[in-house]
Amino acid sequence: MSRLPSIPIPEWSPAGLAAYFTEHTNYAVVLTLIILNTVAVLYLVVSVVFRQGIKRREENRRTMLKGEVENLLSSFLSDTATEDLAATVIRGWNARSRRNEIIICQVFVNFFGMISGSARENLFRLYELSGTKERVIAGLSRRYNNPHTFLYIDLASKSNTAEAKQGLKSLLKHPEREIRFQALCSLVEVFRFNALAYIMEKQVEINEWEEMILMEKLLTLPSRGEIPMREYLASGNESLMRMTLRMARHFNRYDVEEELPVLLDHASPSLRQRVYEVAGTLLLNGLQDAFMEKYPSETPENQRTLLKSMASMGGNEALPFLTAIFQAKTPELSLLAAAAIFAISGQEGLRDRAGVEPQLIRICLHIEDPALV
Amino acid sequence: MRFINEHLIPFLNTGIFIYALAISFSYIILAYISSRFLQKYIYKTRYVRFDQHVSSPLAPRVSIIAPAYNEGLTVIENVKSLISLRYVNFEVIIINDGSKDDTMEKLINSFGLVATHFYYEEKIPCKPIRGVYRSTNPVYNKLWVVDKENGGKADALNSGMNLASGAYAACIDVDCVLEPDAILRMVKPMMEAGKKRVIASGGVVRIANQCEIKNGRLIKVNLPDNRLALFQVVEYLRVFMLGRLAWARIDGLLLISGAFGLFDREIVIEAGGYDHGTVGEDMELVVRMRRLMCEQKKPYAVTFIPDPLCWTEAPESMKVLGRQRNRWTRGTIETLRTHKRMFLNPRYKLLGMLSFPYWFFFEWLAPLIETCGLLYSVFLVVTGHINVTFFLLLVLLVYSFALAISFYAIQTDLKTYDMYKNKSDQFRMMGIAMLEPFTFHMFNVLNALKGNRDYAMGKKSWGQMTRTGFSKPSKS
Repeated sequence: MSRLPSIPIPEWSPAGLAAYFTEHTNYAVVLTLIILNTVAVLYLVVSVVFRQGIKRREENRRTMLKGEVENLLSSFLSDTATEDLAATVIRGWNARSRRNEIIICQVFVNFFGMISGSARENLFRLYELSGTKERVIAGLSRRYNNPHTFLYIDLASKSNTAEAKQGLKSLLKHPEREIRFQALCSLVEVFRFNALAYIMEKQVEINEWEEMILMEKLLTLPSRGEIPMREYLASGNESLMRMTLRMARHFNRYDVEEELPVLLDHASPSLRQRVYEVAGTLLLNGLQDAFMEKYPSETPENQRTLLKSMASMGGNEALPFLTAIFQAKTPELSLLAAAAIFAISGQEGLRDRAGVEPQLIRICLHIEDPALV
Repeated sequence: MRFINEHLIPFLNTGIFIYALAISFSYIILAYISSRFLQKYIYKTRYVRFDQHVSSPLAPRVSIIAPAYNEGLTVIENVKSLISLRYVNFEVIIINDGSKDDTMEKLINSFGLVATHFYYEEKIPCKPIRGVYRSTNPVYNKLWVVDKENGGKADALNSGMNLASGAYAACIDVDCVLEPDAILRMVKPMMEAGKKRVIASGGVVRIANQCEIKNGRLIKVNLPDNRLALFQVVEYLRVFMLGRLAWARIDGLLLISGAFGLFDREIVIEAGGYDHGTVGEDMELVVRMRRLMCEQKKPYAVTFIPDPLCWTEAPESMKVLGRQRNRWTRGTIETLRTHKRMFLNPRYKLLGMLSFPYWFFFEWLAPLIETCGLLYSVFLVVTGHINVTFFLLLVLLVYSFALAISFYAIQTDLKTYDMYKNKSDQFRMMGIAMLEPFTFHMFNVLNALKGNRDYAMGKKSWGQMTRTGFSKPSKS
């Protein structure tokens, strides 16, 4: 077997390499790319092989420091360590690295969440003296991407100081949506329902996901009586209006009824949908005429919601309207109208309207089937 | 001869060189975009407490649609796993697609099902439904079972779409194992949509062979012992972590895996549902939905979640895997041909100008060009147009590049989700990635060629996909 032609080797000098690229361009390009790929592969192998070790060492270090900070705070709270000593030690740790600062903040968050009364006041003094507060406030005012801003927000709301509140409020205008929302959630923890006024004041926009999270928070709060819902509904801020309608539904706020007819003409279909939902849940029977009037011009989704609400709030006056939809045999809408008729006038009322029409009888069977309730 | 030497060979050399350069460059770009996207996603979701929000009754209603055909062996466990997902506002619709085994009997007996007078609108045409069943046991009140005549997976999914009551429909393979909070994670981007309506959302699919699964829940992640499944672990990592993420980031994603995807039901219905006439119904639906939105000039998005949400069983035999890859190739060709109008059509913006050409040149044509390129290189070596050393260097270049991409996918996974924690598993993955270009990749190319041949011959069948059930956990 004949030997393979050998690879031309360049001279190891700038001029030699330049000459190699002109004389053996193909070899030069291919070899360079192979070298680059090999370097990348080696880097990736090393990174995979040593990653776990580095990660474990970092985790150990973190656990150790966390334990030390916890011990120090416990000693301080049980009067075995003086305030000055504790503050000096924490300042020392803080100064050493940014990672230490994060761990210290995490421990403070946990302690603030656990204790109350005079112990909390003592801890707060230490929080100030150790310089942690300053760092948190400074952290809140940073405008660039910082993965720890969420932690600062958490600590700021738990420490509950005037500067922290101010810092949180300023974050409502942060360029990052997630941070704006986290700040809003923290303000709800501090100011409870009053924090909703900031949505109006700062014109914060809330999407459906954020609304869900915020609502979960609000639902756990006591004393819901003083929420100025009518003011919020008239605010013009669509996010706030949508959320207020949801709150009205969950908190049984019948006083919003007067505002609802106006909202039926709102441009946003999702907001109008909320109006139908509220009326259905709160059985606001007085709105059914307005609903019937609105029905023909509504979006298909809103028509469905409206009919569902009619099943709970509709009265005898709505029966001709519902019967017309039922007999129009548009399957989904007919089914919903049938459910509403069934709820208002019972099985007989529904059967009378179905007559002998097979499709309508099938709808009746669906409505009457106990397995489908 | 002179024409060959002076014109044809230089022309082919330049063509192959440009093609190789373009495909390699696209991989690098996609890998870069993916890693940036992943970094941002992890940063943004770091403080989202999915475990707390998962029980929120305020989340939108989701209908999980799972077709079952001859799944009698595992269907009960699989349905129980779906019912016990951690999400409040959902329903599970199991479609018995005319199974010839005891799937339906088992479902009726195990869940105490009774036939109902369910009335529905056939918004998407599908094969006749024999009955809609519900359980008499309130524990299973989220379960609906539809018994219908056999019409294939697309038809079964369409009947599920007709019956579903949720605004969103999650279409899944019944034997997939979902992470408990999978639905919430998938719904999140839809709820976050601003001016753009999110019409579909996909998730990362991982290989579950030999993972520890108990009561339909993934308990421990293991690497499969079977070499073929192991190749697929690395392949899926590369495809999902480096490919689809990037396409989602630039809003050019054309495919959401049929194993698990969440769709805006209204748009699916408007687009006409799944196409019965293709074996690549998952890709075809996404393309058609996107096309519809483009044509109606409505702002929309298709998103992708990098979290590992769905675990599926990978084929462990060459025969079954071959059939699967053959089908995927035919599905791709069918979709690209059905929607050929979109190809380089500026009306479809990025979709027509970038995604579609990419799929055409680098997904459909890649195996064909690769084979031709290989044969051509051998021809050049034999006829003395290039020397053997240079040819071997070219092979080494391609190999080192493939290795770098696979290792990058492995490293990205370790850095982010760290699913395979054992050092030995990591070495095994790297080892298999080293073997892949000469073995598994060649096998895939061969099956893609067969897929092209079968498409040209008008073959439309799915090919039987034998499931063995999740293997026992690896001893290692």
